[in-house]
Amino acid sequence: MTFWNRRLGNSLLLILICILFNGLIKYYGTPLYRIQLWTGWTLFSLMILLFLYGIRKKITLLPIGKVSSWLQFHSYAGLFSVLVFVNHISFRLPSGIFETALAILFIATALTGIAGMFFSRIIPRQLTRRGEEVIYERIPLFTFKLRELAKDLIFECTVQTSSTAVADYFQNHLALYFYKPRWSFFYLYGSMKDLHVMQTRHNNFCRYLNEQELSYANQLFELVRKKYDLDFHYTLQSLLKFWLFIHLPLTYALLLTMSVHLMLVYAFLGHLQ
Amino acid sequence: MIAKENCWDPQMSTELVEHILLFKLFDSMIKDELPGYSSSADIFRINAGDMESLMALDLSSGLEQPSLPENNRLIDIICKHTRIVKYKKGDVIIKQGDYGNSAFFIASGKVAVILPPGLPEYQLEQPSDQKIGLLETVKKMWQQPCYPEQRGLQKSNSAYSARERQLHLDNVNDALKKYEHAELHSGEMFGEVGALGRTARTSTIVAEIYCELLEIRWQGLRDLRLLNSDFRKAIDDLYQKNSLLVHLYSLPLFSSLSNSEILLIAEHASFRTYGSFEWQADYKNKLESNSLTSQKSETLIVAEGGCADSIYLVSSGFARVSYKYNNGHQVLEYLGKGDIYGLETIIYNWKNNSRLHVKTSLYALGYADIIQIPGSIIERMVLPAMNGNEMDSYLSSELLQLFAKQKENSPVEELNTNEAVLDFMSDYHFINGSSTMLIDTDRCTRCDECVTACAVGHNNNPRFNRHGYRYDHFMVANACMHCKDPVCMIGCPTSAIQRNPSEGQIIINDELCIGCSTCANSCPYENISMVEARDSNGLVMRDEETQKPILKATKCNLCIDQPGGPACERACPHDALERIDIQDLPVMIGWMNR
Ligand code: SF4
Ligand code: SF4
Repeated sequence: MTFWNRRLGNSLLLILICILFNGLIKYYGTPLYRIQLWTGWTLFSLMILLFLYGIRKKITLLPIGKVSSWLQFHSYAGLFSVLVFVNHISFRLPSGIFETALAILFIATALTGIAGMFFSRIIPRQLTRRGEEVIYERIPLFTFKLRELAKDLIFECTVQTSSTAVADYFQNHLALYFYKPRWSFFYLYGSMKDLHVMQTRHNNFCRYLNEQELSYANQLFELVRKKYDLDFHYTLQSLLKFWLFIHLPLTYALLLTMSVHLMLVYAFLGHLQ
Repeated sequence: MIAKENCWDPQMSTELVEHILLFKLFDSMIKDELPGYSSSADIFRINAGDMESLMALDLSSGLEQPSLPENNRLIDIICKHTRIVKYKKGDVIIKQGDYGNSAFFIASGKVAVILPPGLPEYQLEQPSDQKIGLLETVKKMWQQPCYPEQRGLQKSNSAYSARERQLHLDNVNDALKKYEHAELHSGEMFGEVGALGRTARTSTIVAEIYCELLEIRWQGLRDLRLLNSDFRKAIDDLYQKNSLLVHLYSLPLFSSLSNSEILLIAEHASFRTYGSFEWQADYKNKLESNSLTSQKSETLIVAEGGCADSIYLVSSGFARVSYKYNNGHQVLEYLGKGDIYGLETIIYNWKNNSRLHVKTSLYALGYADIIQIPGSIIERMVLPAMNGNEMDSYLSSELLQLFAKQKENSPVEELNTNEAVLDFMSDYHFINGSSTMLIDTDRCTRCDECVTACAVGHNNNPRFNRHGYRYDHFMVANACMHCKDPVCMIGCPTSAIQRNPSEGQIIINDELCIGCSTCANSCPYENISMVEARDSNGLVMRDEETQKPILKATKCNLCIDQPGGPACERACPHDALERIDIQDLPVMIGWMNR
């Protein structure tokens, strides 16, 4: 089955379930508190199911279905939970402080989830097409190696050309750049502005070099490019790893607040009836 | 005398050595060293003094290949690699489709080789005792050791012995009446095709009466082959004769022929090995010199444009079919064991009374055992019995479409991705992999869940690297591919690296591994890592004498003991990773074009 077919099938199923759900609410939920109990419990159960995905990821060895199938369920059930949520709050923001906080937590969790889905589809392609494949944890080591290569080059250049022009240029403009992996917003939307700025500066500088110096300066710029690719991987892979550090705590907080909310609802339910 | 602990069979005794030396195959070796004995039968009359000197025989002076490891005297080889095994009437000695690492000489008794199509599967069902239970799996997840590569924590489960799971046929006489079989008697040998060819067993072999067999590991066969040219010739002749016959019997193309007709074809067929059986060194050199993509250095079997006068059967190894494309060669397909080359042209010529020449070339990829059968024999014995549909299925092959394209003189179209993938997979010999780890880097989020899952299944030690050669957005990761032709097994002195008899995974028995690194150096794909073993306190274990760290070879074992199969594949959240048989083109291409 191709991914498009799978996506189409899952989306159709989701739409069908949404229609059914809305129909059920219209049919059964005349008193307001009943709709909310209904949608509330659905939402809570969905949250538990969504939470189970995280646990499944931890118990890798048990033969309980592929994690990818669980993620499919997690994504579509997550989208469905948004519909249940808006029904639960009757399409308007709640008024109480606690409820508002709960709603904001839900929205933030859903948004980070959707962002994660988006990142995991977009970023891998960009990583494949730029630079060499590199394992995230090794990026600092490669950065160090590049810096050492650049230093050796500068040293050799100074000895061979008896001039400190390239070394000074490195010290003034590039030393910091090679110092450690850099995180840059430019990479996120595919801009190469940074590199162009460096290229222009390099071109300007090269006009005042003799042939021997020029050869060293060009070799240095090759290293600049490599470092740029490394930073690109660093930024995008960081994003892929760290969005989860927002989504996960939000999920825990949401589950906890939801449980409190549920207890409060039942405490006041007698009064409502 | 060789130390008991170095013997395969702890019961190794003078009696056993006598037994072994009785075999005709050893005659020449004995004659060379003990001129008083004219044949191995004379060993019956051997006196105690001569037995002593026989045990101490050093045949190394007669070595033809100086590369033999030290201490490779006849007696060492016999003690290290042979044992006597006994089978009751009805015991299944070899099961068709299983993988075996040894051959057998019949010391006494009689065995039956069941000819194709063989015994029905239900008669050969084997209990599977390799997977661990759910409870044990959960326990394993909780009990992760603190230090990498700790040893002595759990019972090793990587060594499986066919002997421990003995299959038996209760109704052997009935079965033999019902199914066609051939008999082998005392003094004959079997099992060398699977053992030397590193392939699955081609037939089931059952003890017809009580049998005593000498089992010899393929390492033993290898060393004996190096030791003595007569032995080598005898073994090679047997290997060629048997693999030829076995192959002819197993081909659906000849399924309608009688026994005598197949024997007639065998008489006209010739068997040849192209390329080197130990091709991995050459592969590594090419990889280093960046010349993997050059077809020139490969062994040509059939040249494009030649006369279409034979068919070629691949009996083991791999071959690639390609055609000239500007100044290079475009791979059309690759062939493995059981595939046939050249048949469609013979059929086409026969049907249309034409003289079409061979439109493609056939090259050995690494090495290939090829059986060549003259076209005239096929035309006389096979084609007349073939029905129209069968013929059409051959004639609709991609090859003939290529003929049609060339006939119309249309320019060769630009390569599409699928064709280029074939080039990549055969250049790097990845077609060897039966469970190659492919990663779609366009979907892989680099989350390393696969690596973590692998580590959890192996006492906190990941057994692969999420890194490797890439074609476009498909990466062949550095994980053992469980090759169809596992060259890593070639040099292992202790048989620590072996095939799982029933499913064919390549596994390392940690207890038998002596850390010599031969397998790691032989693996062309660098998928075996040598690691320093640690004790339960996390300290590196050292050899008592040399004080050097104790090394162990490690690699992916395809989660052989896990109830759910490969954990890496199951753990990937984005469907980016799959274990694929590269020779199964429809599956691979289908996965790539999802
Ligand atoms: S199959 Fe198992 S051992 Fe092999 S790489 Fe995957 S997880 Fe690791
Ligand atoms: S688990 Fe899948 S997505 Fe994550 S690194 Fe492995 S192959 Fe890539």
